Amino acid sequence: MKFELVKITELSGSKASLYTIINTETGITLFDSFVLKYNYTFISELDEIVSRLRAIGKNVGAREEFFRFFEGAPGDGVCALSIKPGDKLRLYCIRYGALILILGSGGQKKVRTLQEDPYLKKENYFLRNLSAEISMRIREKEILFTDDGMDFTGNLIFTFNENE
Amino acid sequence: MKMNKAREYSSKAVQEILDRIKPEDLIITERKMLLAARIADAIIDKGWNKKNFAAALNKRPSEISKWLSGTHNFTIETLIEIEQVLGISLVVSEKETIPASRTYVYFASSRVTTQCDFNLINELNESDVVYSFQGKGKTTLHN
Repeated sequence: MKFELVKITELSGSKASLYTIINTETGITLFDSFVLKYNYTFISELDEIVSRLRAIGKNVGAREEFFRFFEGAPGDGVCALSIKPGDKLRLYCIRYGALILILGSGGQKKVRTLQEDPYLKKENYFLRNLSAEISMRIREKEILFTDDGMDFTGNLIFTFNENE
Repeated sequence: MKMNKAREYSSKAVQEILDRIKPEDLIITERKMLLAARIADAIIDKGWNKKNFAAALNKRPSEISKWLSGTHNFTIETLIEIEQVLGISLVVSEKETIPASRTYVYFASSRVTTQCDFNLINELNESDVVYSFQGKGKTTLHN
């Protein structure tokens, strides 16, 4: 399946660019699929997540303190947006410094470890694969950052198998 | 090879959520995160890490991580403790004079603004808009 990296206009601002990845066949983005899935069951948590993302883009940037790390492979930038104690929704992201954030999907955290939750594991590993592919393209100079560090340029189309 | 920027994508799903969130709730989230950022920067300015800061306040590092996550509701007492340890201003009473040349971030939880008369002022660098809460939870915006 083909995917494209796109920049979310409603959330991006002068402090950070917020991207997500769109399935070019279905036209649905990873982040939209997350929002649509939990929009009626976790309304207040979703409102909080979107508020925080908007503040990241417009006011504060994607500061390291706002994320939980050790959600991906070492150094791959895969992280989860920090949530309030008691909140259940987990959103996986890939962070490139304080200026660029790629929003993935996520889900309800029900069990203690990622490996015990097949759904969360699938969402998490998709981002790990995306991060690895982006890193390779950066090394190969197929993807570059703009001079201000706020955007990606280059080959932003990806092909992943359905089970990746 | 021509390097194209990513195309922009407008999300109806995100816009619907933004439309239903009360403006004051957006501001509260924004202020919490700015406050956390202010504290995190002050820790760095002092040449400390989170562990040093935690030790100075006799807290666990995990609690500091929660404080800096941008989700925490601080009490006035905790903010004043942090002020004293880091040598910064976080809470200003109505009668204090604020020098125009300095940048401040002030925060009080919505619970406190209904009980106390504190001025809450956040100077934004780029837009020069000042938000002010004046007691009783009232909000005014002025340039």
